[in-house]
Amino acid sequence: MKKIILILFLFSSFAITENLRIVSLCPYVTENLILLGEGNNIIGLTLEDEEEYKKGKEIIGSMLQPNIEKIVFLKPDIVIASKEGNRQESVLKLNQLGIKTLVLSELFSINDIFKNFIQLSEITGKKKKGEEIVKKAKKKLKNLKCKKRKSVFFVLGWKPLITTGKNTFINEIIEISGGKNIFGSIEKKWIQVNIEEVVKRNPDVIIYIEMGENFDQYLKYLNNVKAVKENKILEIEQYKIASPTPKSIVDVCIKINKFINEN
Amino acid sequence: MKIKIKFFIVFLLFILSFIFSILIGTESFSIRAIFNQQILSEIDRTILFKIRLPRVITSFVVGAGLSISGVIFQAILENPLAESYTLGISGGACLGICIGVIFDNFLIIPFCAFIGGILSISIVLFASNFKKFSNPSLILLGVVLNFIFSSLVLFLLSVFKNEKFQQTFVYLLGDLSSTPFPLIKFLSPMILVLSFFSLMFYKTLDILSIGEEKSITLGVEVEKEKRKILFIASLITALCVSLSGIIGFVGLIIPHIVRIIFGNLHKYLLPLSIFVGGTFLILSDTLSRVIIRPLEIPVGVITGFWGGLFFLFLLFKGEKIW
Repeated sequence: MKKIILILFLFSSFAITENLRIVSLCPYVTENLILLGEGNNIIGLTLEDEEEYKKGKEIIGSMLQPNIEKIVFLKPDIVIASKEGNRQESVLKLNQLGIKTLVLSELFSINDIFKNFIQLSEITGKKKKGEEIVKKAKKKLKNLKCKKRKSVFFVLGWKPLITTGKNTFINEIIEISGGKNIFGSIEKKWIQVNIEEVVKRNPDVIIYIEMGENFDQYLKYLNNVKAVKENKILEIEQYKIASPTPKSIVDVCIKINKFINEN
Repeated sequence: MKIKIKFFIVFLLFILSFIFSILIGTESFSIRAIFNQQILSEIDRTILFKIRLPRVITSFVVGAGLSISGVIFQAILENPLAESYTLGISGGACLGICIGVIFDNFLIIPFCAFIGGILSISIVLFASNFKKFSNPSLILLGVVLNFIFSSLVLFLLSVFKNEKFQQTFVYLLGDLSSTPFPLIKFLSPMILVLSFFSLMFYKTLDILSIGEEKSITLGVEVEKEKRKILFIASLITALCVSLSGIIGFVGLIIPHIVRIIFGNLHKYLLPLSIFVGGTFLILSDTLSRVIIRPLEIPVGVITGFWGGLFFLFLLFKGEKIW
């Protein structure tokens, strides 16, 4: 499977055309393509994509159940999926129908985000631009300074209480921005934790992703935690984390860094 | 004479819904287009013959397989509630699917589903053979197995791959949209052959469904025959699950509907349930494709909904099924 994708990928890098017809199978791909300036070449995207991008484009179903017929009908030059958001079965089906596909690999670190971005830039014939953006992002991340490390509890969802373990780019974002993930020692990606454990580990800062959840009732349990006492609670826009691009993670890092450095 | 007409109507309905389902979808085609290839573009042909046709065939095969195995289970266990769900086969398959998902290789998922289904029915059969469980206890055993399996599924997913929850969900609700071609080519004939093979057992099933004691007095070697047919039915179900994930209700509802309309003789019940079940799933899947297109809803949602409604209707009408 991987070999097929690799071969397809190699082929495609030789045959770069000006205006690709791209179908994006998840918001993560869409966001990165738009950052590359390829927004106009996207002809189809998913239900889960941001409303503003959907204008004038075809909806090809949802991430988990893309409508294969519809995709074929759109005659795309390439369909781009991600390992994390899409099912392998859909990609296989498209391959069997002779449609070129690219699957972006799973994200474990910030570097993976950069790598996927470069791969996208190569396939769309904008390698230079892609490399430039990544270079800039890396530089900005390097310039972040912090006075004193603070312990961070990063909430990905309140009910159930989901946070990040060690093997994610979010953990890396926390570290780079001058924090220390209170669950950073757990060698996993996403983990569901007990709220008692959060109280025990007493984080200095709580960062959560805005998902329209009402979490006041959970904060009540955390009344004695330093972060709540000092009201050190930070909100991050969902799309910046859920569909990370080199730009969005730099934004997030700067935001967190600033928040941590404020006394 | 009368049964011939009924047969004819069922077959006609099957043919019509088959054609209808191939024509309708994201892009709808006219009947003329199919026979006049020149009207069709390359894209149209891909959509019609490479995407839609295999899918409609899969739904027919799975619907047929699930309902004929439902008929067999209900007859042998003399229980109107017997089906792959209540016997724990689906639960075992769920567990298999989940293990496949954890391995992160989608090609072994169908295989795992098959093994899981066979494993759980083996437990039930073992209980019936060696522990001499009564038929109602077998159903109870199946239900309990289902509970155990589903908690194991949730346990495994939350410990190992909670980011895969959603993807597993697709299988657990039944999905006909992404079955790989090689699997369709390989498994569909097997299911069909087994289904038609089980037609041969209609006499045994007739005798078995009047009760084990009576059939012993009639001189049928109950246990041996029972095991043979049960094995075939389990095999069919497990194969269906590996093709499509878990599609509930078909195996329960269709046998009842067929029984009401065509009576209790297995000579007619078995072949008719193949066509009624197949047609039912073809139509359900078509509905799931077009109801909010271009989005799709899991076909299990549809079968559960209108299957359940129809069942309620029958219950309240007070028709005596058994």
